[in-house]
Amino acid sequence: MHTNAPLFVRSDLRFDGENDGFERILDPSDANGVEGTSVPIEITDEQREVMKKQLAKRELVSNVSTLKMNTDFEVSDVGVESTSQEIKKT
Amino acid sequence: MTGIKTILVVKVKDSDGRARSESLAQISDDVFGSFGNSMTLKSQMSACSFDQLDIIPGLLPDGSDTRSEDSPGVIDITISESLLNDRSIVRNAVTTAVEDLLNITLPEPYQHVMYVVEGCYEDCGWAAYAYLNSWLSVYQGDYYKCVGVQMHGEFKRYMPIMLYEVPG
Repeated sequence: MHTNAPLFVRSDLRFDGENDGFERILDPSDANGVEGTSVPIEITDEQREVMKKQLAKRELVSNVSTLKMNTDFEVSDVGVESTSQEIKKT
Repeated sequence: MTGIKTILVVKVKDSDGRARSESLAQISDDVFGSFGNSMTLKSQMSACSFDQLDIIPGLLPDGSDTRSEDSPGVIDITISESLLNDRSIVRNAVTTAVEDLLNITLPEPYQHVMYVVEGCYEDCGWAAYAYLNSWLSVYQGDYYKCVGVQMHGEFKRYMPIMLYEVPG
């Protein structure tokens, strides 16, 4: 599992308004060789607020910023979860 | 945002046979106005850009318009997963199926790809979602044919480019 990957911002058009979510693009080697697959990042409400503020201030740019994760994370078909993450612009 | 943008629309059938009832030709008309629909994503993107942005149906990699009927820019695929799964599982199954079918790596050769699924069964409440500064949007139910929803999906994709320069 690669620990450094591009970050997507997903914008939902919902019946009760809009909502932004954050996803991580999987490296093909982590997705049976398939390009372009992604899974949600399971984060706390506090982490989500931080990322939304970074998005608003352009410190986080979808498909440009990367998410660097330490070794303490888990991945499943429906998401990536970590206790510590670092977002950086590339 | 100007120029010609090619879009591929993917009508999805899940492993249990769930798929929109509209034909590929109907979907093509709903999105591109291929058969006379004058209120579509194509028409409104053109209007909003003062005719500077031209949305066109994406050809298949072999250069043809269609696979089974006259439906420019629209294909249908069957995925190995059920729509009863989490949306990321469904979405990734569609990506895999399209890449396998067309022998391509998305998004090439298209600027944008729209997935149309029959409905939402897990983590619902959304009509559509799109990825900012990227190539993909996903529509559930009949929302793919709602021009306001189509425009949201497209505008969200282009917004970072329209509003400010993307770093790097």
